[in-house]
Amino acid sequence: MTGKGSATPATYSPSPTSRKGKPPAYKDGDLNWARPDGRGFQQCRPAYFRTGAVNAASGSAYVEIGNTKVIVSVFGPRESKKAMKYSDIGRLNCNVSYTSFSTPVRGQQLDHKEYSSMLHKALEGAIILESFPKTTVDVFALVLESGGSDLPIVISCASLALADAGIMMYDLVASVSVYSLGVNLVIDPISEEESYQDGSLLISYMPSRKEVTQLTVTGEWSTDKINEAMNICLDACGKLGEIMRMCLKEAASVSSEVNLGRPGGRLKGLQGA
Amino acid sequence: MALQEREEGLVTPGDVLGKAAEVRAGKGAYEHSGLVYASITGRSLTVSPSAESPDQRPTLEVMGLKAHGAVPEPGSIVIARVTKVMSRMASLDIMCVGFKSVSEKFTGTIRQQDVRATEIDKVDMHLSFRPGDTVRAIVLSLGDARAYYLSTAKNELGVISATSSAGQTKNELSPDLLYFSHLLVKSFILIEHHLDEHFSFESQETQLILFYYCFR
Repeated sequence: MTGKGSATPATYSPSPTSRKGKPPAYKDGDLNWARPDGRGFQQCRPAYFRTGAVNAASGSAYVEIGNTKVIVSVFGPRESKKAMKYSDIGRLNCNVSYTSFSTPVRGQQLDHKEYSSMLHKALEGAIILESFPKTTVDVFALVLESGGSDLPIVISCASLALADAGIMMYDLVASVSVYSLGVNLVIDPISEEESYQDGSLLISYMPSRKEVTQLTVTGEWSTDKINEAMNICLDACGKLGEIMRMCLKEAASVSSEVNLGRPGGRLKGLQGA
Repeated sequence: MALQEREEGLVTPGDVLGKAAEVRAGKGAYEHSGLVYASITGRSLTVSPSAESPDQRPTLEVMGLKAHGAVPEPGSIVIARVTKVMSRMASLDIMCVGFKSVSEKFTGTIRQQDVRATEIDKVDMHLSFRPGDTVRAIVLSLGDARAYYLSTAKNELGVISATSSAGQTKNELSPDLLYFSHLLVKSFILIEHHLDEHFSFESQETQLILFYYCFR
C-alpha cells in the first residue's frame, strides 16, 4: 500500500469564510447537540484516495472516508453488447453493488437500485463520450463498508477510477452531500445521521469547470437553507477535487519514476502489494 | 519543420493549461469557453507550430502515462483473425490496432465487395479467407451495432498468415511478399490444393506458381 495515493488522509471541510457574511443556520439552534463521531457540523471526515487498486481493470480507485470504504473498477472501452443499438458516441455503463458484509447486520441491505442510475447521471456529463465511439465503458462500484454518504463517495471514487483508466474527461467529478437535521446542516453524514435526516442535498460538481453534473434534493428546504447548503457543498467539492488531483499526480509521478528504467513497463509490485 | 517540444509538469483532467487565444488544444486536451483544459492525466507538452503553418499558436498536448486500450477507428490499419466465413461476408476478431494490441475483444466484418478493388462481384469469400487466417485490413467505418466494417481492397492489405489444410503448417509470408498478398489471398486455397504440404512461400518455385495463379 505504500507509494500510491496520498499517504496522510486529507480532509476537505468547507472553509467557514465561504458563507459570505450570512449567519449559519444552526446558530440559533441547539448547539449542545453533538455528532456521534464528535465532528463539527461542517467538518468532513478525513479522505483517503488511492488509484490502481484492481490489477485486472483498465483503471481503478479505492476510497476510504471514515468508515465508508468503496472500490471502483473501470473496464474498457470495449465492444458494446450485441443487443445495443448503434451509437456514434460512447456509452457509459454503471453498476453499484454492496458486499454482504457492508452493513453491521449481515445481509441487511437497503434498496440501492437507484444508485446505479444516479452514478451514471453524475458521470455522464464529465466524460468525453465522443472519444470512444460505438464502445462502452463499464464502471463497477463495490461498497465494501457502508458508513454513510455512500453515493457521493462512490461518485468521487468512480471519477478517479475513470481518470486512472485514461478515459478522456472534461473534469474530475467531486461529490458531497449535506443533510438537514432539525435546524442544523450536517455535511458528510454517517449512517446514523442519515436515518434521522429531514432532508438531503447531494451535489456532484466539476471543480475546475465550475459546473454541476448532478443535484439531488429530498425533503423540505427553505430557500435560505438550501442556499447555504449548496455553498457548503460546492466549497467542499472544490477541496475534495484538490485531494483527488493530488492523489492522481502522486500516482503518476510514482509510475513515471518507475517506468524510467524500463520504458513502457508498469511495475506489478506497486499495484499488487 | 522545427518542432520544438517543451515538457511541463503533471496535469490531471480539468486542469487549465492556458487561454485558447494563446494556445491550441492538441491530443489529450480540449477547448471550452476560451480556455484550454487537460482531459487526461499525464505530462503536458508545448509543441511550437511549424514556420509555414497559418496558425502560429503553440499546441498544448498531454502525454498520457496510462492510456486506455486501443479502439479501432475509421482509417486505422488492423490485424484481425478470421472466425467465420459466409458466402457474402467474413467475420473477424480484431487483434491489433496499428501497433497496439487490443485489450478487449472487437469484431469486424469484411463484406464481399470490400475484399479487393477489382471485379468485386466475382469474389468468392471461401476462396479468399478461411477461419484462422490472419488478415491485415483497414477499418472502413464503425459499421453497424455488431461489427466494424473492414476492407482488404488495397495492395498492402490481405491475408498475411494462414494455415494450410494439407500439412497444418503455418506459412508466414515474407515482408516483400506481403505486397502481393492481396493477389495471394484470392487464389490461396486454390494453390494449396495443387501443392504438397512442404511448400513454402519463400521458395522461388512456389512464388512462380503463385504468380501463375494470380495472373492467369
